[in-house]
Amino acid sequence: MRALSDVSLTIREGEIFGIIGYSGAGKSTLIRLINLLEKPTSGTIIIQDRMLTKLDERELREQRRSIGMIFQHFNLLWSRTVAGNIAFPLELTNLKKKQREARVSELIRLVGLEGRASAYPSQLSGGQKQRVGIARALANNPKVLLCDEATSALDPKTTDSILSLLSDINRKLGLTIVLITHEMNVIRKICDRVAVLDKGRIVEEGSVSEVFSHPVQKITKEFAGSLNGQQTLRFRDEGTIVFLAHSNESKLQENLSVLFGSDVLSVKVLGSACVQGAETGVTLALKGTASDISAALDRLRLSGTTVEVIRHHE
Amino acid sequence: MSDWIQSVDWASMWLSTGQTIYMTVISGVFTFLLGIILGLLLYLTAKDGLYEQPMIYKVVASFVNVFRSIPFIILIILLIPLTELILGTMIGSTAALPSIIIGAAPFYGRLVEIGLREVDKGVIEAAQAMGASRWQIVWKVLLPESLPSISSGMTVTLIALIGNTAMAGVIGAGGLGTIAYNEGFEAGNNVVTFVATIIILLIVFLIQYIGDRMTRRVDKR
Repeated sequence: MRALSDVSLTIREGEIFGIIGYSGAGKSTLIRLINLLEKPTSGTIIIQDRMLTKLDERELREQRRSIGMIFQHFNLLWSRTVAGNIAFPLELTNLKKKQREARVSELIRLVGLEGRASAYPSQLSGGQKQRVGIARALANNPKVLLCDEATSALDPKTTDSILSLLSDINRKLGLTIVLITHEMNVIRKICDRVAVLDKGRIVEEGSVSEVFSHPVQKITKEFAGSLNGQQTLRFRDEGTIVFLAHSNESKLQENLSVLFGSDVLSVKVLGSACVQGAETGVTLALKGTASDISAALDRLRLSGTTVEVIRHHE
Repeated sequence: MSDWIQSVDWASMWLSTGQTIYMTVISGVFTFLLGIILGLLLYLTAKDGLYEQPMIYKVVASFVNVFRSIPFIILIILLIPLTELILGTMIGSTAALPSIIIGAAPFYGRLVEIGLREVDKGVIEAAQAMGASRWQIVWKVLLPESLPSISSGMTVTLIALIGNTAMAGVIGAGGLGTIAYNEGFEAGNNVVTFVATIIILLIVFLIQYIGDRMTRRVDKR
């Protein structure tokens, strides 16, 4: 049986790249190909100019140390404490005990688990377990972090906190993150670019806003539709995110064309139009000075448009 | 009451207790080591194991199955030539050790194998993703993570093994089984049988108690 075919992906250094698909699409196989936990029947995998598919077992082990991985079910050793779990990858590289301990406490601070170093995984919440997983994955200063459905076993609030930790790490350490998920909000919240995987093939690929504001494939439309304007979006560098709605569709269109014609604002459509109650609405990203944006929003309110600011620009 | 106490030759009773403890401890240590090796071999060489080796697996699995199936009383007799070869004698407590070990190690090996199979596949995968070698996975993941099963399995095995030390009386191994049979049954002194039983029960309870405590201590799940 062929789990994947014709898959060709280029992931840029320092970006957060998401792969979305339903279960059975081949996501797990795809992410496991990157560190060769699954061996491809044909094709190549190259990370930073090193062809992984050409390495022997020892070289591959060496290489895997610079590729961190976190998992849906965390996969911690229950027989080890938080500190012991984080020390595990460091023990594999024969790091001196003193340096190991220093690195472990540094990592515990990085993921916000101060005071829990001697707790066992069974005493931790799901979110805390994933933080241990992240610290463990980062121990050997990897260049790439693979996330295998890392938030799928967590509640929405914990998912948010793990996602913001990942996005922090991505910024702070310049780490390239590749994640697979079936949850659209994970893609929306932290990914720069996305690939849509369907039945073992990549059917669409591009920047998140591009792919989901103009979905071509049916499956992409389904994923795009799984988010309505009400959900909190966290696009990075997109500006202020607003949801505009009006009971009269043509009035909305009129207002939008005024907005698009503005000289001082740059406007981008993020979501496809959707119906919310009696109103039709659309999600936009506005870029401009704070005063220009608030002036534009005030004008819209005066014309009877419902304005909901989803996120102010930081 | 004093008749009761006097009807037992306490010197030989304590000697027998010592022999039983000697056989249990020495064969326990070897059973533990051999069982871990057999369990690891079965687990690692099995299909989809870390060192998949169908031939080795078949050989080890048949060895384990054969020696686990032979009734102990027959095994002792079958192993007399081997015992003579290793130890130069076929009589006494020490001579009983090879058959006790070969009787118990395959049983324990299977328990170890079951324990290893219970180790979360995801944790092994995580270790592989971190660049662990197969030996590092054995030492740092498989054995520590299956420690509760290794410990509770050893408790069960030790108790079964004490039963076997009693049977080893047929080759003159001594111990509480022998004294219960010779002085208790043959010489018609029921008190000796009773006392020997009590001592064996005490040893079993002690092992069970220590084993349970150890298992609980290493189990952080």
